[in-house]
Amino acid sequence: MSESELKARIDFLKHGRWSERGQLAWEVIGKRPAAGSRSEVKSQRELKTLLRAHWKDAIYESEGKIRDSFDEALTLYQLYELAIETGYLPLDEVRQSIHGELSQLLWSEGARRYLKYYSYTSVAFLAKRVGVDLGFKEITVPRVRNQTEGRFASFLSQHVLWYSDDILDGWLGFLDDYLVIGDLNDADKEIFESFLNSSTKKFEEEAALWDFVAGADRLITRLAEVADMLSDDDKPYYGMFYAYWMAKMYGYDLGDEGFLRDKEQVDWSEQLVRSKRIRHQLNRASEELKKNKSNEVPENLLDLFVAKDKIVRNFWDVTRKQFETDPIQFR
Amino acid sequence: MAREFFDRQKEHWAYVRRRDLANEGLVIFVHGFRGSYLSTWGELANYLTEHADSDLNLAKWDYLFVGYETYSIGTFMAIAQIIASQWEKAAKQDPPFERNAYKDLAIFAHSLGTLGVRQLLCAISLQPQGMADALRKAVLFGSPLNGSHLAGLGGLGRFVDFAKGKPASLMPGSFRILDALKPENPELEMLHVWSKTIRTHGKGKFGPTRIILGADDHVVGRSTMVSWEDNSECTTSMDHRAMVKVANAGANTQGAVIDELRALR
Repeated sequence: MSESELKARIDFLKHGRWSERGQLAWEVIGKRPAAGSRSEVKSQRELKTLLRAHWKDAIYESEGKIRDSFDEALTLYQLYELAIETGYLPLDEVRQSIHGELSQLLWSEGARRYLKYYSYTSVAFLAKRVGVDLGFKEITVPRVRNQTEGRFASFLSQHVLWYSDDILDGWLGFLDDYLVIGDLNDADKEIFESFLNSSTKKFEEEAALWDFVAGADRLITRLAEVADMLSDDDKPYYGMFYAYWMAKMYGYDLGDEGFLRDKEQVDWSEQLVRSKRIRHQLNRASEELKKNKSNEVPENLLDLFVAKDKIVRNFWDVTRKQFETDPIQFR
Repeated sequence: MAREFFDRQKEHWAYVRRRDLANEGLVIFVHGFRGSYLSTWGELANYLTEHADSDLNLAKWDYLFVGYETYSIGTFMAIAQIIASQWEKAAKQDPPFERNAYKDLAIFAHSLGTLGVRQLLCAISLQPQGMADALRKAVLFGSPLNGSHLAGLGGLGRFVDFAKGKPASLMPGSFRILDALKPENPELEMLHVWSKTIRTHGKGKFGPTRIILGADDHVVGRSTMVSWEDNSECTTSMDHRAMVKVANAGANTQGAVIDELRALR
């Protein structure tokens, strides 16, 4: 690989939107006080609280912003790991800089625990590759699957689109329990579920609710696009990159035992397919098109969604199976 | 031997070049609405990097994937200009094409990208010198020749606006190109007339175009499709998204796009 090619690849990864969004985390989480100082002890304690598992203790909005930023900061290292695994970047060219950055960002126990809580397995792999000891037990890093750099590039070119897609962004916010139309008494998820399960009942903010439908479809479309181009060997590694969103989409919870189907959580794909409202509107659209002498059959759109969803469910199954045993264990 | 793979995510292009000798043919790929320069084509870039040289026909060509951010595109002409400027760079042997003197060109496009290609073929003044002579074939997949009430939205999003009581604009206002995709919109009609005129009376070479349709293409609306003039057509059984996707199957990877590439002469 030429020097200019290498530089272009590294620059793009380093300066992507994920890095921009990760700035806050670097300021709050990535600044280590002098080793052994009293402020270091204090920071350790504060970061452990800030970066706790959300299923153990609810997260405040102000904390959520920093944690979201931390997720984005970690995205860069997930991308680096995939880039190295696929031969898109040679490890030797980035080892030193990644070593320095990971040592800084993950200096605290809280940050390291966060990797385990949220299955940032690929970051743990990367740390092992570059020689940063995060206090985990011996971990076996995936072999470098050379001859797949083009596949990584394709994946990256679609992932970038996530950052310029308001509809998808809105849906991810919904999955993450952000409140756009509801309030603490009547959350967006409850309103949306009720919207889908009724055919004609009037709702305030119906436009926003339809945007959720479009956003859910967009998420499945994007994930199906990724899954389609992956070999079976590749799937779990790319799948881990999107595990958080697939879990949220299909009603899984992340706990100490890994990802588990939580029957109290909604499987949103299933809800969409079963939705009375969507069926009702598809029928209306069909009637309208018939009046306009069009032969288009809107109902087929739901079949297309089901077909894409099938691809993504398989992607999710393969990913979960591979990581049934959590490879991140503290010594 | 695997090919050299250049990837410029920031500039939205990737280039797959033979290592052992300088090919004289270049295929340019152009994606559609809200696609990306690589993922639109699935595994294709990786497949060509790894396997093109073991196939007699694929080995003769180098491959350039170009793209754009859909929200920044206002007209078909804007896409035409992207293709034209890339070919101009290639013809002048500007980097990264400094090693190759390309004489042959083929253009493969999907959905909205196909209208940009048609625009380029009509706008002779926009074509870099020698482009028309170099053009061997334009292969257009899922071309919304008649627009679509719901084009660009894709999937379930297609009827969401209908449900909202607004016929066709779920997209943020910045997606100006969406207007040009509506049926009977002036830009599309103008392109059709322009295309017909150039084919009938033009002094330049329009170039052979091949249209690939999907029997299951609900985005373009296959059932209401009326062909434009002089196209060689082929109908696949696939839907709008799948018809250009190359799914991973290692050396045995297949796909409509690969079939069309193999048929290039």
